[in-house]
Amino acid sequence: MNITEDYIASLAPNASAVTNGKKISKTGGFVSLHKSPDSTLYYGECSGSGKSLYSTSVDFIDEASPVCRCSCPSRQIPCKHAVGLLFEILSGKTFEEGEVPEDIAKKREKKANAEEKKKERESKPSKPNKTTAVNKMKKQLEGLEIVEKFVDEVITRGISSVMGTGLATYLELAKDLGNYYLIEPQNIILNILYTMKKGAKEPEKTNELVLKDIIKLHSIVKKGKEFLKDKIEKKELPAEDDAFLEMIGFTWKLTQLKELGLYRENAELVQLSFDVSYIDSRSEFLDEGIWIDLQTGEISKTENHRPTRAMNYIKEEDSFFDVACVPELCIYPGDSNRRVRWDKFVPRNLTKDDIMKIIDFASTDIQAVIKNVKNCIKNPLSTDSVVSLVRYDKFVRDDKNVYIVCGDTYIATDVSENMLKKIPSAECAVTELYIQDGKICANVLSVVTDKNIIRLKY
Amino acid sequence: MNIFDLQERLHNSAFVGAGIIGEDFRLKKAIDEFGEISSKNAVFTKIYQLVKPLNDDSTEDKKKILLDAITFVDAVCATLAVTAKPEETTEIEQNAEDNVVMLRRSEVGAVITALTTGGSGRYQIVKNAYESESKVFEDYRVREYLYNGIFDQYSEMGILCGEIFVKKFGKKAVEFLKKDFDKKGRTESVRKLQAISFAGAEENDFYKSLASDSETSASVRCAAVNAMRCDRENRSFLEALSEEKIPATLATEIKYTFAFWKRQEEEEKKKQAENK
Repeated sequence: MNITEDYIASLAPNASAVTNGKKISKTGGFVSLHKSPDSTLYYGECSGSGKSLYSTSVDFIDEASPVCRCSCPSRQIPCKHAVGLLFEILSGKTFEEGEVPEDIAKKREKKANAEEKKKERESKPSKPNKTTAVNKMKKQLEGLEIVEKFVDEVITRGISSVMGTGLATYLELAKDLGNYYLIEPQNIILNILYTMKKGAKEPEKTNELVLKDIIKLHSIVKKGKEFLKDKIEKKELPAEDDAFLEMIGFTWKLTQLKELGLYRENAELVQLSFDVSYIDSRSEFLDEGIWIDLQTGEISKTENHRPTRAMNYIKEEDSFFDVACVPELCIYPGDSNRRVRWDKFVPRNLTKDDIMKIIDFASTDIQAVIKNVKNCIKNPLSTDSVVSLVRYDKFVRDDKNVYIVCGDTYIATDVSENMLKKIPSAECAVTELYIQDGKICANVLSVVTDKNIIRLKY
Repeated sequence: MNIFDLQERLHNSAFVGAGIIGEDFRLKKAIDEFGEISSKNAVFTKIYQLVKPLNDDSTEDKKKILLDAITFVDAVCATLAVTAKPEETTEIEQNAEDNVVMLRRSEVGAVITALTTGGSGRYQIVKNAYESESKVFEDYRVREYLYNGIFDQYSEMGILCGEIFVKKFGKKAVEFLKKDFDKKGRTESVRKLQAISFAGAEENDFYKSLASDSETSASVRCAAVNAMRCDRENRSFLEALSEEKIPATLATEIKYTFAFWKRQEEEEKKKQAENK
């Protein structure tokens, strides 16, 4: 098992668990260290704040999904002691050989049985209840009628009418949409209300943002009603390879994606960029990773939503500098930068060959990239930006902006000149292209040199 | 009239409300004028067919038409987006070595957020990172934000960033701060000088040159005198300076400096007596 600090950080629930785990390892918190003869189990006893020592173990019987256990009272998994044990392995401490403790052997058996049962369940094609699905769709259709009324009212009375007395009423309406399984329209309405509330000082900009959301809602209603009516009439299930389904409240399970063939085996992914943003209207953090598939060159993203009310229970994602070897990669429907998810992975070091592969995947035809971006963005139900890997010649500046130059094409970027001066010249750049005031603009997320991926974000 | 003008008019109608679209003479005019160029291509013809009913009083559901028209026109405008064409540009040189230090977000995120946003609590985050001798400040991105932090609106934060910048990166940082130093400047130059002052007596000549230069702004001169507190040998220089015709603020700063040294000397004497 190739354990790196990066890998430990990817297993840890948050940054403080890594810091504390490292501290435990450095200060000699472990009084005994053992491993099984086949090196699949590492265990030890760690001193803590309690009277008795904590029994901590990390089980690599399934390398792609290690199990961390500890007798401490922490509810975090893995706890700082298990993270500490991983740091003990990383730092090359001596682990005495010992038998697998009885309780762990039992837990292993129990887990193996559960895995087998899960596999059995997954091998059988799921038989969803058609009546339930149709009833759900009827409810969604009812919800879309409410959304349509909202759009009609706002557009008839004018966007500024949302403020004032309308605000409280619409907030109630948005909350009610949860009962109609319409998560995305609910989020869009909440975003409209939040934008209006916050944007009083810049009415023009606010109006434009709100109108964009209104157009999105209008498109969802238009397409959604047609789609749901058709499905209800034919009594069909909505499980299709169509990203639009998420817009009307459909959430994908990994098993469903697999059933639709939206998965790949033995994929190798490299993270190109990572960032965390806070979405005020939803009161949640979004951890977003941008990844490149080393076999296909496809750029995809991972999303991890962490509502503030559940912060302590949801693992925080982080930057990842190794290669993630994913046995089963599930891919969400969509056009560009499709969302991906995986349950298990094994890390390996990023090599020079990997970097060269990434550089080879970079597009040399910036016009084709821009065309693709335009095609994607023109769809109101699509994202506002597309991440692409492009070859570039240089960065230049005029008195207003910094530009990335690809052949004869100049694209205005948000990157700071001083930051660029601190990094070496590179072969290609990971750019997030978007349209602002009729101009193609770019956020430069990272650059790729022949030795490294240098991140301008995280 | 072009498609972007039409887009603007349609958006405006949505802002003020489709309920009064019949009274929107600007939109009416825009649609009529767009009609004149609509035969140019099939897309424009389609747009005109879409927006034409908005000018017709007998049209019933104008809000739906307005929304459909905006959706379509916005999509067309997106395909017409262009890249920039700057006139005079300068190339940004990227000569740094390949071994740039990059840490994970979990390691640097809190400090970068503290350095790039407002609000309370951020000073303590940066201070804790500095005091715990964390490797955060080795990250090339943090270095950049740290430099910008010297000019933070919250002066204590600015001084802390200056201290970290100079103490972590030594002479290189001082040279960087001294490069293009604007002696006639105000807050920005003062902050730079406050940061340089963490290099102590090594930069004494620089402080002296600024303090004695009548062309230097009063605030920078005051900061230079303040920086000279690092060395009591500067007393004679400051005494001579106070004899000259200098701004009142500078004279006060010199007095404060003498008072500071006096207190320092008294404390030292007290300590010596205690040790005996």
